[in-house]
Amino acid sequence: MSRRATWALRVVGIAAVVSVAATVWLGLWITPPDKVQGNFVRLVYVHPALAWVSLYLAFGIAALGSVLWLWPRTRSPLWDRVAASAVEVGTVFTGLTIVTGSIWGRTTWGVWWAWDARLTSTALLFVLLLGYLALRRVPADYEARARRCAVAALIAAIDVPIVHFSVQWWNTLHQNATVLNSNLSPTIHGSMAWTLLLGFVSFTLVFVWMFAMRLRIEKLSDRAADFELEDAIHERWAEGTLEELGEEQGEEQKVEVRS
Amino acid sequence: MRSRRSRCDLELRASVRVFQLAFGVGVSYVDAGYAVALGTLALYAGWLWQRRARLEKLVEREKERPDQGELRVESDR
Repeated sequence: MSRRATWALRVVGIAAVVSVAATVWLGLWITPPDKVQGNFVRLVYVHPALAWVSLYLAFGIAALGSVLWLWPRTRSPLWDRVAASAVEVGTVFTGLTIVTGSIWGRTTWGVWWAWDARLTSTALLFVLLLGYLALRRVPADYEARARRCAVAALIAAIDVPIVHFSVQWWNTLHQNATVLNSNLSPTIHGSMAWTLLLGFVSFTLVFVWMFAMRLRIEKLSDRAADFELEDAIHERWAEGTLEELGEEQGEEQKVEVRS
Repeated sequence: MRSRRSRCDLELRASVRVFQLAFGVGVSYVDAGYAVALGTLALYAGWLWQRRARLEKLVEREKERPDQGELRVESDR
């Protein structure tokens, strides 16, 4: 990694920590309780931001990386690594979206879980992401694994618009979009709106840092695998040379015995 | 099989008890939500950091190792 990239990653990491700390401070201590939800509204500063990262950011990058890998003109190992990194980090964020949503649901709806369209489609997405990660671990040659995973990511990507529009297509327990609604008139204001916005920025920064770190790990893993392959070939080569040497010595001994 | 099941039951009951105690001493759902989200992200970040450091060390060690011969693997990646 170049010195400039390391420096940039460090800056993003520090900015992420500072902005998350500010979100927590504003969310838990500064913003007022909601008229209807009371203090439980504080979970809203975390939950939608996590959902934004998992659904749109991570999945957008994973789908784009997969398409670019499948397209013969743009095919490059980089796109496979990009998709794999985005999916792994996205899986963590999707899991947290479900957990924080479940806690919020318990306080607001009175249940931890409901088979509501938004919740079910998000759970399906989480399972599809786990499937992608499992598929990546199936032993195969590099090309086959990358192709398989790219197709799996694109199949899973079909679920993203379903998750997004589920609250409009079906009668759901989950509320409609508060900020990005169809009229584009946010029904939230003041310190709550700013804290929500800061939450989106801070979790985006956390994602960027994690994604860059994961991408680096993917590249290093490939290099380590190359070294392992090199070692294995050397071992086989050495074994072959020893066998040949043994055969030659055997032949020489036979000749000596005959003479 | 039976002992394994009873151990699972015990672990489950212990986890439920921990949650009950946590909520009992005043940990609200809001605190729990923040703790789960930020704690998981912190753990995952630490795991990523550790994986990267280990792999970087491994690759550096391999690079410094004397060349074993003319054979080199030309990576297709």
